[in-house]
Amino acid sequence: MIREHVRFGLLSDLHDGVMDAISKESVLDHLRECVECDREYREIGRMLRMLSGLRALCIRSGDDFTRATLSRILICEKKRKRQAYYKRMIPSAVAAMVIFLVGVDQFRNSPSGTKPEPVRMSSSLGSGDESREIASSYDMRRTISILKRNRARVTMVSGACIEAEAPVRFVDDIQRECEGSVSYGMQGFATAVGYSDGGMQEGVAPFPGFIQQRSADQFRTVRVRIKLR
Amino acid sequence: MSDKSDLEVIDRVLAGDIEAFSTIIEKYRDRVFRYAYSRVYNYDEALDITQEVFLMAMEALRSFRREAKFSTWLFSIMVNYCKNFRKKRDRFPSVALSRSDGGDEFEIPIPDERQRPEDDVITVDTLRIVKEELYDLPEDYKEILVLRDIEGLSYGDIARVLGIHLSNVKVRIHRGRELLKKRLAERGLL
Repeated sequence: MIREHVRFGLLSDLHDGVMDAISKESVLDHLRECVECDREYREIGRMLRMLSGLRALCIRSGDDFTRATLSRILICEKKRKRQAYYKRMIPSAVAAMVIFLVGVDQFRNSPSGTKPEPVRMSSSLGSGDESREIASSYDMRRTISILKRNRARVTMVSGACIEAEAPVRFVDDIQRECEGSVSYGMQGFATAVGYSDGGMQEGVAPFPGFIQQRSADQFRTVRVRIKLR
Repeated sequence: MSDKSDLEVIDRVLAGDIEAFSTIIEKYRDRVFRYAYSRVYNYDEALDITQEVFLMAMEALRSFRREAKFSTWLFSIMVNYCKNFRKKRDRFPSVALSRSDGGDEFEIPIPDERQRPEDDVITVDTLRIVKEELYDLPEDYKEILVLRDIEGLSYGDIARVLGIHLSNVKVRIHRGRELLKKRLAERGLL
């Protein structure tokens, strides 16, 4: 039997039934003899009963908690299912899109592929088979102004290039101007930079519309395709 | 309802019968609520927390591995949620935290006085004092006494729920009870 007072922890353990049989027996022997420890033990028991009385603390019945919670759960579940669906679908959709774009690109770049023609303005009369590719050093606005100055008729404009029909006699001038080898002075005369044409004085050329006649069939037009800067 | 029947309900829920989860809610709602209320001391907040805990449990139900009891798993969610809730609320302390700060006085719904063994009469007033003193304990002691002496969890389950060692559980229970007993004696209840 324990001779001195039992520690609080042992009395607490005795209530919880977490003591081995020998310790339990010796503590119970002591309690039969010691009034103080027995009172302490009973008080712990009373306190535990009072604590268990707090189980009465519960959700008010009028709150309809279960139904409200279940509705929220159902809403969340629907949302979760929808998200899961999209999660499954997004990679497939992206893959399909990539395949489609790659396919379109392949088709466009293939020799047999027919590129969609850009919308053209009214075609000109008398367009010949001749065409010329020119790389412009200028932006779209300035290139169009060069074309207009040289009696060219713009037939198609896109972000990357301009197509026009120009009288054959102006094509060279257009090319020169677009490539930046001619600049204009204040009197409206073009100054050729490092360019010499037969019969013209080197370094000085009249305004492009009047530069020269290069061939007899001056009314013939040539298709000019100008790639923009 | 035993843990076995809990598992049966869970199987039904996982099979798509979401409404079967109401059985789980009915069974555990008051236990979760009591713990939440002991942490926030506010009826409405405790109710919100209880609802969130069930929502989280439902969301994570597929990850329940059945190694522990369902109640232990649910209480782990509950303890962690309350911890995070407190942290969040401490960061934005716009609402009263403790009863001294004006927490609500939620009446314990006991219709009449309860007759207990050994002629103990536990009145509503007694329970109110016990509740006040319990909720006034340091957090570590309070939560462990709620889990042990109100919810009746075993030492092992408490250790799992709180993520602490078994010996630590024992020590906290001893100290918590000792402190509470002292305070109840001061209030003339023992």
